[in-house]
Amino acid sequence: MRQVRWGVLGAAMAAVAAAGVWSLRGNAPETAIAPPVATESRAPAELERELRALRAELESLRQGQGRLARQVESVEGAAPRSVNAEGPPPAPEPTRPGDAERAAAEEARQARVAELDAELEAALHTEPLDAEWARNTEALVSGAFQGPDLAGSRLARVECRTRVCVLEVEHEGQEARAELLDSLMRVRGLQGQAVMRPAADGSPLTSRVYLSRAGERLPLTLRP
Amino acid sequence: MKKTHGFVSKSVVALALLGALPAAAGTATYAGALCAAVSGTPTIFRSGRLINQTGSDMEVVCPIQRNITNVPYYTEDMTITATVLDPSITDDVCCTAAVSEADGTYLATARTCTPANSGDYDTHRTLSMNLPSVYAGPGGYLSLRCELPKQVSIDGAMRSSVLASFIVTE
Repeated sequence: MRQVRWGVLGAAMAAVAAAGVWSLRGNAPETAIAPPVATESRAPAELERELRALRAELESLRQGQGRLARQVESVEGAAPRSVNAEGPPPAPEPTRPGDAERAAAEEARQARVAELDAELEAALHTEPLDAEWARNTEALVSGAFQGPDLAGSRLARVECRTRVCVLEVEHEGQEARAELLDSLMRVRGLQGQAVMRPAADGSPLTSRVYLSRAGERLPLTLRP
Repeated sequence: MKKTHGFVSKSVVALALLGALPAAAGTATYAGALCAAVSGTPTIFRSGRLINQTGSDMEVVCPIQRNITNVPYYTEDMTITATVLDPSITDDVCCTAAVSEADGTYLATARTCTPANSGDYDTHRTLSMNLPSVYAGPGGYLSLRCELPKQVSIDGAMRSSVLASFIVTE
């Protein structure tokens, strides 16, 4: 019984102490729970600097995210589709950073090359004929292929118009093909621009060469 | 403090990456002394001029550095201008600018020579070559090749052909 009395008394004292603490807390000034003093005392210029830095960081992250999203899209687009829907999925090709960008750039390069080739072909089909220049230049080119400098390459066809000539050339080997343009342009009387392309049949030992008239450019429209 | 340190680190990394980007294409000049002989033995003057002081015609090839290793592999419009001296009336100084694939196969060339039947041992001429807009594949490169005629005797003095310098503009 005596123990019960002491227990009730202890509980009552604890309740009084809790009420006291609660009342003190409720009267405490608001400054007591304000953020640390350091934040308030920071100069506006410093905060502005930090804000600028955070904005820059955010922008950088956004750009990075955009790049990654584009890479993912292009890799997904380039991935070969399995013809056997029931078979196991093909193992993913290992990719290095920038592979997708390089592949896209290579695709763009090849598209531009095809565009330039089409332009040269169009010029050959639409240019008027300067009969005298064409005859003389065709003779000059044909004669050059009879000489020792162009041994290893055979002229299959030459056709000149007003500013452009096209040559179809067969080569004995890759070395002859590699050196063709330089050897050809050393022929006295041939000056100007020259471009070598693989022949239409895609054979590595045949070439299509476009030559411009001396002092003229090949009819290629430059992009700005 | 930790956050600030992280931001500074990222900024340093970003700047480092920017610095590692390929240099933008632009105009660059080179001395003739950069060129190597394909045939003959050229004389190099301390000024950097390359001179054919021999009795035989000479050919030199000049590599052209391009700091673009990714894309675009080749620009739309590029001109190489060589400054040469051609004292010979009978022979010409001729230069060929070329773009080659990585394996050395010529892809496009542009060639020009000093005017035929005229020579000047005192006044330099410029030979300008505009390359067609072809796009070499990755690793494609540019070069300049010049043919310098042998020495000629003019008014009792031996006169030499010279490749003084060249400029690449793109």
